[in-house]
Amino acid sequence: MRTRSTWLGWVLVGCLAGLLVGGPVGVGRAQAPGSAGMVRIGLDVDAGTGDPRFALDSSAYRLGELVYDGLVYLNNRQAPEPSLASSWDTPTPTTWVFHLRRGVTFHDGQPFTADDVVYTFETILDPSSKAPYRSLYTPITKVEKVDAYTVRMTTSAPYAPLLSYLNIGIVPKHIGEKNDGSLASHPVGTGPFRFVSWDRGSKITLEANARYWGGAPKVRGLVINIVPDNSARAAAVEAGDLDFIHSPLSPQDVARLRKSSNLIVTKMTGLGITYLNINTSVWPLSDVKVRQALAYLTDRQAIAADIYQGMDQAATSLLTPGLWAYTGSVRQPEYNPAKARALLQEDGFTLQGGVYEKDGKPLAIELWTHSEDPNRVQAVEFLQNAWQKYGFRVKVSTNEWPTFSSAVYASKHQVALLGWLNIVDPDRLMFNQFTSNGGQNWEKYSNPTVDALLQRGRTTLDRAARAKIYQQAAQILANDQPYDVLLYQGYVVVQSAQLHGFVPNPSGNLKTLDAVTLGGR
Amino acid sequence: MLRRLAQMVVVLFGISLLVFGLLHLVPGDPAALLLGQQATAQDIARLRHVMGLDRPVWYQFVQYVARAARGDLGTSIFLGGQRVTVLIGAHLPATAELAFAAMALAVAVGVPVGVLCAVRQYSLIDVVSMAVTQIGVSMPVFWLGMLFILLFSLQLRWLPTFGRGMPLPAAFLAMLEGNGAPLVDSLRHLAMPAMTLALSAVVLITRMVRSAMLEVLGQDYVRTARSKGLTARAVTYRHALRNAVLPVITIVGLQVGALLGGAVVTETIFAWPGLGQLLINAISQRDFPVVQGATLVIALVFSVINLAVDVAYAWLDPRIHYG
Repeated sequence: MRTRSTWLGWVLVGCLAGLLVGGPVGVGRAQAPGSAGMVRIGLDVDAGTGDPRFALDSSAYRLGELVYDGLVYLNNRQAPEPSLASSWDTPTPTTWVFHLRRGVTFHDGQPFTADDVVYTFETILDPSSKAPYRSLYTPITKVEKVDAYTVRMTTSAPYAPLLSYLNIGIVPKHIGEKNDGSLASHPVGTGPFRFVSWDRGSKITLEANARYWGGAPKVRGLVINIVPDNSARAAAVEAGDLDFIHSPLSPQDVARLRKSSNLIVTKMTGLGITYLNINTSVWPLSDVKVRQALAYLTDRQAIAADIYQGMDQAATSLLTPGLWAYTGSVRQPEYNPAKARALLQEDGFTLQGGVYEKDGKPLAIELWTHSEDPNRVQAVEFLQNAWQKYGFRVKVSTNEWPTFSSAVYASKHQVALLGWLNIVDPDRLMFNQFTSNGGQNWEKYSNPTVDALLQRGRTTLDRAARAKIYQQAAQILANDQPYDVLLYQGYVVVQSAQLHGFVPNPSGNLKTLDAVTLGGR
Repeated sequence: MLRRLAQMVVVLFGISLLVFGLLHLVPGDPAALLLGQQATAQDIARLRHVMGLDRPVWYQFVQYVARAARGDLGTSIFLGGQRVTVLIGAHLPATAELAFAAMALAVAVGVPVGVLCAVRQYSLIDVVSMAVTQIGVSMPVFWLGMLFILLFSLQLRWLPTFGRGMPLPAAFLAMLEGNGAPLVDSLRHLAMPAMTLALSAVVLITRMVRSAMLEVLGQDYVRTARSKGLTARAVTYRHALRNAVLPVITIVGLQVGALLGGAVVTETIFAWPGLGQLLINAISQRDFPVVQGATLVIALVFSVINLAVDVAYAWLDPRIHYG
């Protein structure tokens, strides 16, 4: 007994001594040995896959953008710039010819050619493919190799948003066609950073691609650390254990980080919206005046200021300020309880014991959201209070995402608070969502004028003409209120003051890390 | 022993059936989640067919059990088709390291404090310890974790905020080869998560040791030992503690099992790449094979630990036999 406890005692003493020695003196904080010159990034979830064709979560996107290149790159204003395609032309409205960059090699040394482009898109379009965003590409009917450095794409009808979706990473055919799924765990692309290692659930290490066609990155590499808790990630960058974090972050943490002199906090309008999806097929929400009354009772400014602490911006319509189709003149009904009251009374509702009624039926609705996002949970509670104050009876229900989303996808909801991300083109936010047979028309909205406008928006190639079409559609939708757009989501970057040269992209793309330098380390 | 092993197989089968049933009962379709919000109903139906999710549930279960019996737990739906056994193999050691470190810490603190409280019942140290443990057991883990980060990382700048260093066994080997840095780094990473996780176990062990010791100290053989002229220290540690330790072993065993599956919050706060994180992500994505596989492995570990506790009982108390 005594020998055992003595031994245990020595181990404990050793451990404590180790901690103390390693503590204040410092063995280099959380830096792993040999991390000098590496930029330490913190992301919220581990990437599901290293194969960009099958990327679903935001981390898989970020990894894909660093390791691979697309045919185009979407710049800060989401305008396509040449990437693996050095130029392109459209001989007919349904034909796109891409001229590929020469002399580019994959990280394993194999040359990049038209075969890789054809392979990438054919595998995405394969009906048995698990590609999450396949539906964005289905208007493409044919992808052909014209010669080793020219590819022709044919679409079933003119498809204006196509270029906005061609930033998806091109994978090497010679590895992909082995069908062993190795790209998922060992990505090989042509991008500025080369994959080195992946500790599942912990970190992904990338090193600079010295032969990158766009010029070798200036840092030695990147370590993508997975730190799931938003506040813990904020604490890590504050403590100097990370050099870079970005949205999602909690507004309270961002407010604190702004005060640190060692950090630079950048905030901009992102490419996402937070909105109420209103099921137009069930009474009382099938009544447009009820939907408009709700809009008049919704104080978006208060939600943005009090719950999101100014990190997100109160929305005025479906068109977000980050989009080229944006105009401030399209406006949904703004907060005005008096107008709501007048509208409901005009519609035949009478106030009985604090709740509006019509034909003996109370004005009762259910408001749903998902439990993973505390700000959204707070927002539905705020709305419940606000709407109840003016005569609605509101029942709130929050469920975890899979339960919530499957019910909304099946249109079993009445009012659901959720969001859309990555709106790089108005078509992506509107076509499937508002056309009568659209795949994401969970609100069951149907309006032939909107159908025709969205079809025209998709097939008109001139951007100025498209902008007008989407503004027209957005104004109709702002009046009809199948969506009540609450917020334009903000995009926040917090970086160490030692990190120079990063240009934030509202999409969250981290590719410009290839141009950063790291002072002091 | 054979009978107990057979019981274990039955338990594992029951757990697979339960988890499988529950997963298919709760709403949420992995095919829909995998294809994201942009997917159409046809896309989802097609993928459900490809994944075999449109087959009858009993058929899927039979197939799963048949494969699991051969050691094949399938592949993850979301994590790029990784084999579930590989994923578990990558995450289990981190969780085990954390659970055992937390338990070692809890025993190292809980047993001496419990003994002290019993020996000096109603003294200042007893009252203070009991009050502190009461506060400790009421403190939410995520809050405690954040407090530790605030204190040790942001204020004192002693410990790293997140992550895991080199696995401890490898770090020990490195130290034996003359390089102590990785071990120090690993221990510094381990310190805060282990302390956070240890707290509830410290409370339980302290209270259990205290009450067990109080009971034993009042028995005749202790009085006899004292009257023989043995020192107080010998009576307490060699005679009383050995008998008081039996119920503590049960608690420790159950706690290690619970920590292996239940360190989810701690793992999330400190970004500790363990099984808890893997499991929680898999549940939120309805990654059926990973949830089933991880639960099965946790159940297996739990059963094995229970068995080990029973064996330890027999070793500590010669009166106990297993037939």
